[in-house]
Amino acid sequence: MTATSAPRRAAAPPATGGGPAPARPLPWLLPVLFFIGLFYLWPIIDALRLAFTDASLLDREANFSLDAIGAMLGSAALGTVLRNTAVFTLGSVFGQLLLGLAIALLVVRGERNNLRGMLVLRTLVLAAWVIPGIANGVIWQMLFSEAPFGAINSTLRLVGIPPVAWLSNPDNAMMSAIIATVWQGTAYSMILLYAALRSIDDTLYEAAAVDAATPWERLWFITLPELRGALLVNAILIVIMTLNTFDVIISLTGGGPGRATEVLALYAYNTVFYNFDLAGGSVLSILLMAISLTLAAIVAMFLPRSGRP
Amino acid sequence: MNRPLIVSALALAIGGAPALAQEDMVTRDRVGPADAENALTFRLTAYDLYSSDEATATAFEELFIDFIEDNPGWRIDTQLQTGNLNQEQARMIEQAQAGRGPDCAMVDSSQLATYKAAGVLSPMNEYFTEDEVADFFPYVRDGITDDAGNILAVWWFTDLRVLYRNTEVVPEAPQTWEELKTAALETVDEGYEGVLFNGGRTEGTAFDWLANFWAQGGQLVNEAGEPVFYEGENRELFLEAVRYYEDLVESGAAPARVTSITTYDDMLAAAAAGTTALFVGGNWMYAQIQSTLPEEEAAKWEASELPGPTADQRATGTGGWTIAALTDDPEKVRMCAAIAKLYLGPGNAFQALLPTQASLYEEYDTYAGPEFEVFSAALENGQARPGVAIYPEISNQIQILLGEVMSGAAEPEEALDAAAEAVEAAYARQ
Amino acid sequence: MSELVLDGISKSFGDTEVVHGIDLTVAENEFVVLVGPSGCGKSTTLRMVAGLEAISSGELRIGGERVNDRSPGERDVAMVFQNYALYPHMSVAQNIAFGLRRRKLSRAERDAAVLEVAKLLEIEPLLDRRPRALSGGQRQRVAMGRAIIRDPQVFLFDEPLSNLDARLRLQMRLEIKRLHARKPVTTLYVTHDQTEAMTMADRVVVMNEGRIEQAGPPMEIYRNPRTRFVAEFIGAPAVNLFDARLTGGSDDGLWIELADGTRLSVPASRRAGCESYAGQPVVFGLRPEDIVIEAGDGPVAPVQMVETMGAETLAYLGFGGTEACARLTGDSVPSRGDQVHLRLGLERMILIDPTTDRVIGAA
Repeated sequence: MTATSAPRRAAAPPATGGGPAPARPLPWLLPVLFFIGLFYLWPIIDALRLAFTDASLLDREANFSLDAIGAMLGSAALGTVLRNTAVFTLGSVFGQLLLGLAIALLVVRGERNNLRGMLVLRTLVLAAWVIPGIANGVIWQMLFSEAPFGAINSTLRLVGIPPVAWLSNPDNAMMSAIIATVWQGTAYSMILLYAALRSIDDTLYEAAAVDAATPWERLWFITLPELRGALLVNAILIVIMTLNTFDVIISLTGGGPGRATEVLALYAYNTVFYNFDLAGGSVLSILLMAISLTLAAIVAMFLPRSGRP
Repeated sequence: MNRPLIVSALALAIGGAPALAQEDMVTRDRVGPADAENALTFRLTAYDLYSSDEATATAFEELFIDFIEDNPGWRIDTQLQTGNLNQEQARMIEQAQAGRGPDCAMVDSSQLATYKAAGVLSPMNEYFTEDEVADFFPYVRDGITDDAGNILAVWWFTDLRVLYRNTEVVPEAPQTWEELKTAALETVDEGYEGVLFNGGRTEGTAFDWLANFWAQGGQLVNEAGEPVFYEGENRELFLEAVRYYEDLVESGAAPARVTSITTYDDMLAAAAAGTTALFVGGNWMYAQIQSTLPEEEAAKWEASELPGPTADQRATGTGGWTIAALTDDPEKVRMCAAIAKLYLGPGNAFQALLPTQASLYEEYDTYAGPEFEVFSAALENGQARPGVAIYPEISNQIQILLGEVMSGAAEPEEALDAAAEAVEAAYARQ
Repeated sequence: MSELVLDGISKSFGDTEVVHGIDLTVAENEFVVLVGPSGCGKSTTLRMVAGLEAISSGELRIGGERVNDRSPGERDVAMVFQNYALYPHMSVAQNIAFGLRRRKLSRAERDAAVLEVAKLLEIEPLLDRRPRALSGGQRQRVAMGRAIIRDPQVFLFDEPLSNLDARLRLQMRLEIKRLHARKPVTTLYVTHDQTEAMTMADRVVVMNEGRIEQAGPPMEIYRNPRTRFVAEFIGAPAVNLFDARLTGGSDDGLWIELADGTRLSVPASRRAGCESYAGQPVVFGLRPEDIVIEAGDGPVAPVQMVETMGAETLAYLGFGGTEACARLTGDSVPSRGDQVHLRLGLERMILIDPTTDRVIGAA
C-alpha cells in the first residue's frame, strides 16, 4: 500500500467497515459454476448437439441431421417403451413413498415407545439401498426364479400356493421389476421421511390426543400435512431416479420377456450400445430429461411455499 | 513403510536382484520389465492371465514370461476389459477411431465385423503361412479375412451350442425338432421341467435359436450385408423356427419360464438340482457339469448336436474370441500376432477351449475326450454370426420377438413384422 | 359436577419416582395454579391429568369418575400448550373447530360456535389466517379458543404465557382471569412464575421436588408460608432472610440477634409460637415491604443501591450482616450512601427453624 492511499483510506467514512462484504458474488460462485458447467451442463449440451446429427459410435464424423429425431420419435417401439416407463415409474414411486412412509412411521413409533431394534431395522433397510442396482437385480432374479427350486416359488409351494410366473409372464415381469426397485429404493424414502417425521412437533400429537383424534386422524390431519414438503421433494427425486433406472431391470429381466419391461433409459442404452446409434440415443436421453424436468416441475408446483399465509 | 518391509526390501536389494526381476515380470498392468524400451498395450479379458482361477493364471503367467524372454526389449502393458461386453467393445472402437485405443486387443467374434467395418484393424498377413491360414475352419477363415484376403484378426478359440441330456432319462439323442419335443414331453411326464434354453433378453437367446433358422438354410443378411431374414423365402424359414420354439412352450415340452432364462448358469443350476433332463447349452458347459455335479450324476450327462427340422438339416452357432491389432506400427503388429499364436495353441490347450484350426485337435492331448468328437463333428455345421454392424440390433429384435411369442404377447407374424420394421429403421440409420 | 381429584398420584420413570403421591382436589370452577421451579414435577402432574403421561400409582377422578385408564380424548379435558400446538396447515377457524368434529353439528351450527368463541377472544378477523401468520398473543388466543369451544369439564394450562414477551404476558394474564370469571371452568394451570400464580389463582399449589409444599389462597401462602422454600419462592423481590439467634433476655423478653449484633425485640403477639426456640439459631425473614425507612429509634443502615420503579422504590441496605431489600412507597427516595433509620414490621416476620427448614409456628 502506498503512502498516499493510506491516509485517504483512514479518512474515509466507515461505510463498509464491519458490515458484510460488498455484494460481488461472482468470484465466489465461479468455481462452482465452472464445475457444474464442466460435469453437468456440457454433457447435456453435447447430447443436445448429438441429437441433431447422424453421429454413430462407428462413425465419428457427425453431420447436421434431423433424421435421428424423426426416427426415434416415429419408432413403433417408443409407444410401448413409454407406456412401460410410465407404469414402472408410477408403480415404483408410489410403492417407495408408501412403503418408506410406513416403515418410517413404524420406526418413529417404535422409538417413541423405546422398542429395541429400531436402529437395527433402520440399518437393515438402509443396507438394501447401498446394494448396487445390478446386484439388486441379480438378487431378485434368484428370488423370483421360476425354476422348481426358485426361492419365492418354493416357499409358496410349501404353504400350498401355486407358483407364480414372476418373470416369464409379461404383466408379472413389470410388477416384479417394480417390487425389486421398491425394495431397494424404499430406504431412501424411509430416511428422508424419517427425518421429516422426527422434526414434527410432538405437542401437535399431544394436542390432537387431547382433542380425541384417532390414529387415522392424526395421520391425516397432522402427519401427512406436515410431511407434505418432504413427500413432494422425495417424489421429485424418486421420479427422476426411477426414470433413469435401468441397472435393476437389465440384470433382472434385461427388458423382457419380449419388450415387457423395457423402459426408456434401457431403450436409450440399447440404442447406443446395440445399434451404435449415438444420435438416436441422444434424442432418447433428451426426451428422458425433458420428461424428468416436466414431472419434477409439476410436482414442485405443489410444494408449500414458505412465508405465505 | 513398516520394519519387516524395509528389511526385506534391503535383503532384496543386496542379494536378490534377479529374484526381484523375476517376481516383477507379471503385474496387474504389465508383463515384462518395467523399463523395457518397447511397450505394447494389450486389452484382454479376465479369463486367462488375470483369471480368478489360480492354476489358469499361473499357467498363463508362465506362457507370457517365456514369451517376453523370447522378445527382449519388449513390455506388454495389459488393460483389463470389464464384463459389460457390448459397452466395452463399442467403447474400444470409439477409442481406436480417436487414436486412443490399445495396440492389440481381444475382440469378441460377433463384434469383429463392426471393427472391420470401422477400418481400425491392421492386417497380420505376413505372420501367417498359407498353410496356417488354410488350417482354420471355413467359417473362421471367412470371419477373419476381408474382401482382399487380408488376415485382420486371429480367431483363437471358438465355441458352439449343443443339446445336453441326462442319458438315464433320455437315452437316445433327439435328432429332429419333433424328436426333441417328444423326448421333452416324456421327461415332463416323469416330473421334469422339460427342455430348457435361453429365452430372455440376452444374446444367448438369439444365438442359440439361430441354429434352427440356419439349419433350414436361412440367412440373416445378404451378400451386401443388408438384413433379409424377414423377406422372401427367409421369412417362412424364420417363422418355422419361431413356431418351433412357440410350440415347445405351448405344448409344455419347455416350461414357460424359459422367457426368463438369461444365462447358461440357470440351466446348469437346473441340471444340478435334477429338475431338467434336457437343455441347450454351450460346449464349455460340459466341463462345468463335470465339476459341478457329483461324479456319478455328471456321468449321466451327454452332449449331442442340436436337433434340426430333419436329421440332415443341422447347424450350430459358433462364437469365440479373436485377437486383433489396432496399431499401425508394424513391430507392434508383429508382437500382437505372436501373442495371438500364444493363445491359439498352448493357451487353448490349457483351458480346453475349442481351437479354430483342425490340426490343433491332433496336436494336444487335451482334445482326446469323447465330447470333443461330438464338438468337432458339430463344428462341421458351424455357423458364425454375420459379420455386420447391424447384427447386434438383429439379435436384440430376435430376443424381443422370441420373448413376445413365447409369452403369448404376440403372434409370430406380427412379431416378425415389428422386428423387421425396427431392424430396417436401425439399418437405415447406420 | 366437574371436580378434579388427584388421589395419591405418583409418577416413576423406571426406578426413579419423580412425583410422590400428590393429593389435590380442584373444586368445580376453581382456578388452581401449580407453581414451582423447573423440574419440580408440576408439568408431569399436569400431563398425568391430561392423560399424556401414564399414572404410576394413585387415582385420578374427574367429575367423580376414575379416569386413570382413559385416553386423553376420553377424559373431557382441554389443554393449552406452552407452544400453543396449533395445527399449522389449518386456518384459525379450522383449528378452533377441530374439537367439534365428532359432535354431529351442521356446518352452520359449527360456524356459529366458532364465531362465538372468536368473539369472546376477539379474534374474529383472524379466522381465515394460518397460525404462521399470527403473533404470539394471537396464537395464544386461538389455542384457548380451541380449548374453550369444547366446553370441557376441566381446563389445563401448561405454562401458556412463558413464550410471550413481558407486556403481552401481563395482558394475557388478565384476560385469562377475566375469561374464567365470565365462563368459569374447573382449571389447573401450571407455571414457574410465582407472580402468575399469585395474580391468577383462586388457590396456589407450590410444588418442590415432586411434592406439594403448600396449598392455599395466594395471600395465605404469601403471608403464612409453611416452609423456607415457599417463603423464598413466593414473593418478588424475594423475602429477606438473615441468620439469627433467638435469645431470651433477662427481663423475660425474647430477642432476635442478627449476625451484625443487631438485637430486635420479638413483639408480644409473636412470642407464643417461638419461645421454645430461645437460645437456638433461627433464620429470620422479613418481606421487603416490612422494612420501612422512617426517622426514629430503629436500627440504622447504609443504603447500598437504589432501584426506582415509579410507584415504588427498592432500596438495598447493609443490614443484619448481609444485604436486605426494602420496598418503599411514597416519593421520598434515599440516595446511595445515605444512613437511614429503619422501622421493621416484626409482627409479620417469618422465623424458620434452620434444622428442618420449616417455618416456626406454622400449622
